Amino acid sequence: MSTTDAERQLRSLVEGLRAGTMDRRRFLHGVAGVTASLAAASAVTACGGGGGESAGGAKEGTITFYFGASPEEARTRKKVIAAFQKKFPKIEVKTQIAGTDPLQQLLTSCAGGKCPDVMMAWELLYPGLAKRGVYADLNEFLDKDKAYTSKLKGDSSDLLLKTFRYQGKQVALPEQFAGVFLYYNKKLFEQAGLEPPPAKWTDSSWTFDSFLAAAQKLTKKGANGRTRQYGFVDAWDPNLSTAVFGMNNGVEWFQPPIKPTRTNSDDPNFVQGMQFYADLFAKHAVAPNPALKTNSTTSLDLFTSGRAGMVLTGHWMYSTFAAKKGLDFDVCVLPVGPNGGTPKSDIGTTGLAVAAGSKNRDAAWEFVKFSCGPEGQKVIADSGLFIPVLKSLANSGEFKKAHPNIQNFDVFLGGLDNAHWLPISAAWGKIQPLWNRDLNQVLQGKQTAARFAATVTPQIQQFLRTDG
Amino acid sequence: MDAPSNVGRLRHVLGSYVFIAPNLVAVGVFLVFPLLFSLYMSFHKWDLFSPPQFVGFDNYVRLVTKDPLFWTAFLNTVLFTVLTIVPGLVISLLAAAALNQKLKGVGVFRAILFLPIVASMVTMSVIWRWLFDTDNGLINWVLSSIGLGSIGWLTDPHWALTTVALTSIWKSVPFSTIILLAAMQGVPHNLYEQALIDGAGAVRRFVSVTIPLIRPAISFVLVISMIQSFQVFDQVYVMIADNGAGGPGTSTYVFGIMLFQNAFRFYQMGYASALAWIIFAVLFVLTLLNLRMQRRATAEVYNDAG
Repeated sequence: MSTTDAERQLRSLVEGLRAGTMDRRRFLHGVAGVTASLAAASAVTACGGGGGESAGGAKEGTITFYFGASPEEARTRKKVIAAFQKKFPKIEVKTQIAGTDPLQQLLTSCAGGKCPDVMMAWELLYPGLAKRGVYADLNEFLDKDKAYTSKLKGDSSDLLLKTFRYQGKQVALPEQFAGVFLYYNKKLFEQAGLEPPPAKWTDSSWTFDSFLAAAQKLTKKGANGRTRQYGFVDAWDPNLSTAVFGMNNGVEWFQPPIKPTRTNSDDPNFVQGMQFYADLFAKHAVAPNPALKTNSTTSLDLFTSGRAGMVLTGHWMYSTFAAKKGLDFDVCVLPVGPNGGTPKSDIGTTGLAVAAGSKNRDAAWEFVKFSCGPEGQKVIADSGLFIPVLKSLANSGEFKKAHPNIQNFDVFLGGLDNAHWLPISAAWGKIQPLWNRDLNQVLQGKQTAARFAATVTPQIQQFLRTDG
Repeated sequence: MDAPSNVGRLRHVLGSYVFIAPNLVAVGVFLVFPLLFSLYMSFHKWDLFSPPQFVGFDNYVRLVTKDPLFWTAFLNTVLFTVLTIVPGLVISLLAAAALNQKLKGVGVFRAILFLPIVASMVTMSVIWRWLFDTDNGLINWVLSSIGLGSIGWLTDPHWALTTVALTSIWKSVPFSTIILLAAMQGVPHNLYEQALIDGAGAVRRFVSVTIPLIRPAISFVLVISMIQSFQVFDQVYVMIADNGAGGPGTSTYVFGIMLFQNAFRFYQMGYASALAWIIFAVLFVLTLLNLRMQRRATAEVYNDAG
């Protein structure tokens, strides 16, 4: 029986009630029928995760795959899944798309013993689950699969592999790199008489000062005194952007980045970088204030409609910008502070992990291996939707061909080798709300970054001790 | 007493229990058990994955004495409750009075007024979120087209809680109105006639006849709205859309959000359970106070009348 059976029975039950043709006995009988159908349907679903392996070792069974994606990204993922199923026709992949709060979704389903077999792992979120033993150690599979492993290690960024190594376990294999980049509107730059910003990660000439000067030139007020064109908008997470600006002034946010034991958020240089970022809104008014008004959707609208000169966001927005007619844009590096070295992006990445409790670990591993290996990454490279994690594919002509609208394509590729880590800590779940909550006052211009840092730093240290 | 009749009574009693068993089991499994389990958990430290650890009253003590956010949440919740209850009651009273008139088509108005109550709060919160969107929302569009400029309804920390309260009022008015309307219809008509003969105007009749006689209904509405406001969660979670962090800043950090955050984002089930029982205790005391006040007030009305 299936859910449809239950629906049908429920409908006839309701109709019977409405028509008044139902006595009590028939009603009770009907209710029992619906309940039984529902129970049967859920039993089928529950068994679906099972399956198993035939004696010959040929992989078969059903695996569930949990991932977060926009509709467009979901289409690319479906392509990867289709390619996988062509190779492994006996493994069925059921997809579960993440809601807005994947951490909470995974926590509750895994605590309830219904962990998806394959899970997307977000760099900031996975440690909280890893600490609780949700993930299998992929080394177990990698050790057995020597040929694949050596090929993977030779072709991968070590930074990304390391990002998903936690407490001696390889929790996930990296699957995509997103990073964060500054896109700029070429036409608006020309109109303001500005030179195109630097497009090399080794170039430190794009300083905070020159960035601010450009943003000021790009900001235009209308006759009514309201801003009709902004120099800059943030379509990423302003709470994280603040930290990236701090880091681009020469200080890492957390130390060490993986399983950190301390934060440098009160380092004067870090504070200076944060203050510079906050001043863009409250003091210089070259950008709409994310603490008062805009959200990321409206920031994107401002850029795509040519009402903002620069936007900070990840690689994932490239295809949206490219699809917008009349938007002549390119990508450049992030500005660097007076105490920073060379500019850097962030290691924004997701990987794929296998549930420790999966009943179909081998099939799940095959899927992870395929998606993060050359075959799956090829589909991703061709789509141009994510930056592939394998160097051979990222540097392939196909991936570049998927970015016809820009000249500074190398900024995307170089981002990975020039990036700061965001904290890889099980305490992040607690640090994030604290950080966002108190930072709001700084972005509003009601508190200085120094005061903010002095208040939150000891609390973050405490969280690193108790929850890290 | 003879044995057969005793057996008969026992059989009778057992028979009744058999009949109420389905309900009893449902209440036991889905109501009593979770309640007792959360009470039990409130004395433990539990992250859902590892075995619970007994910590005595530690969760309660930490909440009240060491967690500054507890008091933030307390103040926000009280503020939210006041912002919701007071206008909600006034609007409901006026709406009930209007619907109590013998007008043509009053049934249609009653039906329209009742609509918000049948809509799912989550769905309606999503719609309200669109309406209140800072840059693309209908409300700001109207405001700026009449030259008033736009407000960061849900993104500005000064407005966020008020905005959520507005939607909660919208949601709670129908229920309160129906209760108050029913009570108003029970007011004996001759009292109004007497008041009319004494020369009382419409406002005077409403204040001096209607209000005192529907006081029990008002009190009931107050208690119910207070409980609902105190437990507010879904509107804030959906409308603010920051994964239950109660932002921007701490502006919408109410008890419901704090409870959710501790349970499902910080994996602190025990701590969250303790908070749930503190909320229960506060509500219990407030409800008792309310009932006592109502009893006294009702007694006064009847004494005056007598």
